[in-house]
Amino acid sequence: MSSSLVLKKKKKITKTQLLRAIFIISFISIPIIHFIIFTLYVNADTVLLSFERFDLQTRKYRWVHFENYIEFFEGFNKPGSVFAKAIRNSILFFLLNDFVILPLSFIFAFFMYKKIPFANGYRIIFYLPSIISPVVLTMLFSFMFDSSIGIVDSLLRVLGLGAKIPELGWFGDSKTAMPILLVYCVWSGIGANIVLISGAMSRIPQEIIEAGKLDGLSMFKEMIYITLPLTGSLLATLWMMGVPVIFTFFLTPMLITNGGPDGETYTIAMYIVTSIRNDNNITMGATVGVICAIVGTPIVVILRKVIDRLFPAYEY
Amino acid sequence: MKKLVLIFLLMFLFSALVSCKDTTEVVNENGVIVLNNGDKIYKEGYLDSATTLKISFTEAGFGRNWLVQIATQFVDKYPEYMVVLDGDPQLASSLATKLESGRNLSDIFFPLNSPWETYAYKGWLEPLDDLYEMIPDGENKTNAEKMDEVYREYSKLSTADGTHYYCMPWNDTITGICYNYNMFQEYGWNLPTTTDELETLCQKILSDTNGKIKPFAYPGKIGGYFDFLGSTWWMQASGVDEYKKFFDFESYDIYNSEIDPGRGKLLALKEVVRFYSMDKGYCISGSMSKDHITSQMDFINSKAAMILNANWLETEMKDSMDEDFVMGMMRIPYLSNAKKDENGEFIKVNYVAPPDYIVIPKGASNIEGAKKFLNFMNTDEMLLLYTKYTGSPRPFDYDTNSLTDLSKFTMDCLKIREESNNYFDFSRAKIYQNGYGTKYIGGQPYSALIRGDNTPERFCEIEFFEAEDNWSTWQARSN
Repeated sequence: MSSSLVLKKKKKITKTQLLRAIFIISFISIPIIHFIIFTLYVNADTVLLSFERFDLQTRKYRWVHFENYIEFFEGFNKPGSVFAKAIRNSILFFLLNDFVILPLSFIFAFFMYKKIPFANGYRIIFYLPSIISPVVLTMLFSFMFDSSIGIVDSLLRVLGLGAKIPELGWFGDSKTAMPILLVYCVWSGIGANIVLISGAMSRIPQEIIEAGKLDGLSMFKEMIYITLPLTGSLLATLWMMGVPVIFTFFLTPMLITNGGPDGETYTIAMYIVTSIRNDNNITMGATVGVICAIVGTPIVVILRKVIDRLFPAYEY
Repeated sequence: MKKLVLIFLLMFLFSALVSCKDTTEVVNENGVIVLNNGDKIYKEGYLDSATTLKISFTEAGFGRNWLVQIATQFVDKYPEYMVVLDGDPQLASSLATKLESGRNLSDIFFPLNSPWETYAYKGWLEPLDDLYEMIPDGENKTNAEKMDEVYREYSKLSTADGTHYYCMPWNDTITGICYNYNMFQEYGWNLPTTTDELETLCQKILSDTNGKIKPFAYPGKIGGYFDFLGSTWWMQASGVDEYKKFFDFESYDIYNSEIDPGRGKLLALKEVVRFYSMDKGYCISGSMSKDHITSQMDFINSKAAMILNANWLETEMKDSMDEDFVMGMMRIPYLSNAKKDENGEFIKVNYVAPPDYIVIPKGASNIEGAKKFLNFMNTDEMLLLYTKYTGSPRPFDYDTNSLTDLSKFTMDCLKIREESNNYFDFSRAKIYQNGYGTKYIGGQPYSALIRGDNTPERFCEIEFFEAEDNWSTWQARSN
């Protein structure tokens, strides 16, 4: 009885259904294959590599247990080690991104949304650095601070502040190199956020604001009690997108200071990139990557939960 | 208004796109066609039958004209080949990925200095033993015999495939102090032969120009240039043989600053501090944050009288220089305690920067043609042509005296090379190849020394302690 029922059910699969199933499977298979190759395989290979080392004579990777990890931690005490500085700077860039650039972007976006005079002009000024190639932008920025042709030194001299110019140059002095990189990040990073936040703000229903105004809502209160919560889910997403900066940010210091002076502007990602690119040490790059994942994953998970609680998504 | 701006932008975009399609074709008197300055170089009538020889090269300081000229002569002689040039300023960075993927490989690569040994160990490079034994057309010496000995040693490597030559030297380097010839003439400054004279000259430059012109410009962002000076002084102080011993990495005593070669390193570092430390005021302010281009601009704009550099400087800056700007190259002055030869003269050394090289990938589609091209490049005629167009020699035995229209700078460079024991550092020691034993433990010390964050004595002391403590571990991990 039951077997005949199964047969009957099997017979019911029509050609159209089969084609439909193939169609669905072929579409689902794309992200699955992508996931298997570019996430599963790459990450599994990275973990494996962190326990291996390339043997020059046999042309094979050989298993070295935790030797790469031991070497990594030993490296902190080596002369000239830049890793401690790299960790410090990576955290600084994250704090800057999430606690300075993002709030500033929100404030600027709010004033543009409120149509302050020349709002569109400001929008272009803020957004311009985001559409110029980072290579060109960093070069222009470096020229601004050059001791021979830069406008900054000339201005300081005109203002009688020539004595404040560092003898080693802004990027050659360990006291000024990092702060100026942070200034660059604010300048170049604010524009894209403003565009995204402005977009979210423009979707806020005007009735809510008008109702608030009837109750004597000031601009400041509008920003804090209406605009902030209603754009909260976007801000939370942008905030979370800033967390990986700790492990991925390297292009700006590489182009502006090349990690100098003496590793003062290194970041974790730059350490990995130079390990692989300059020293050809793929296994150490993989080791640092795995350590970052071990440290970073719980941080990201906890922050996600905190952010979800602080900025719940509102439907409107 | 918005529409007007939009129309203007569209027109601009259209004209930019149209200009991208522009092609230039030059035909020489022998019927060799050069398309777009090297996109394709072939002999008239052979386009369809010619075998393609693709050459990727680093398009940097020396430009591409030299290679276009050599390739033109090559297809004139061997019309069965069509040369395709692919210039890439960052070739050294992308080479490993290209070789590993094995796809769409060029037949010849000309990268700047990068770890070719690793590529050979991984089996990505074609052994060049037969090319080394080839005799360039119309000559009587093999390529191996014609090549400078140090490069021949450098190109040989033992891998899983046996001991072979894996690369061919591209360019030879002459390092030294480049100076503004006109400025030296105008003020009557003499070229110094010793470091004491150099110090006197620095003070004279400052006093004669009321400090408006500084003795030195330097690119602090790219520390490698300081090592031209440091390594030369190290070789002068220890002697070339002792300096070579350092790279055998036989024991941690090589880092001991009380005996050579460590002693020479300490003396050299002290001398670098003597001229470049901030308190001396011999350098352009802010140089520590300059890259090579901005510091070289300072030099050619006469803000400094001298710059540490190498034989590529003139070609690299040619487009930015005034027509009447004349530069010269002086030998790096001798340390007062430099080694002397049997005649009581200071030893003449030239520190050659880590060399740029040429390789043929194992997976190249036209290995035979590639070897033929490289053999052709090593004929005296092509070596001279190379020097003529780049102002730089290749490390082969050929007489540059027949070149008549060389600049003063090039002639100075060639003279320094000719008179010197030319050497660069490389090592086949396992401890070095595995990245434990290095020339300077913890990286080059120059930046920290100049900023006053470290002293030469302290740096050498820490190096020695580090090596002594870890030597056995490094050895164990390297085996």
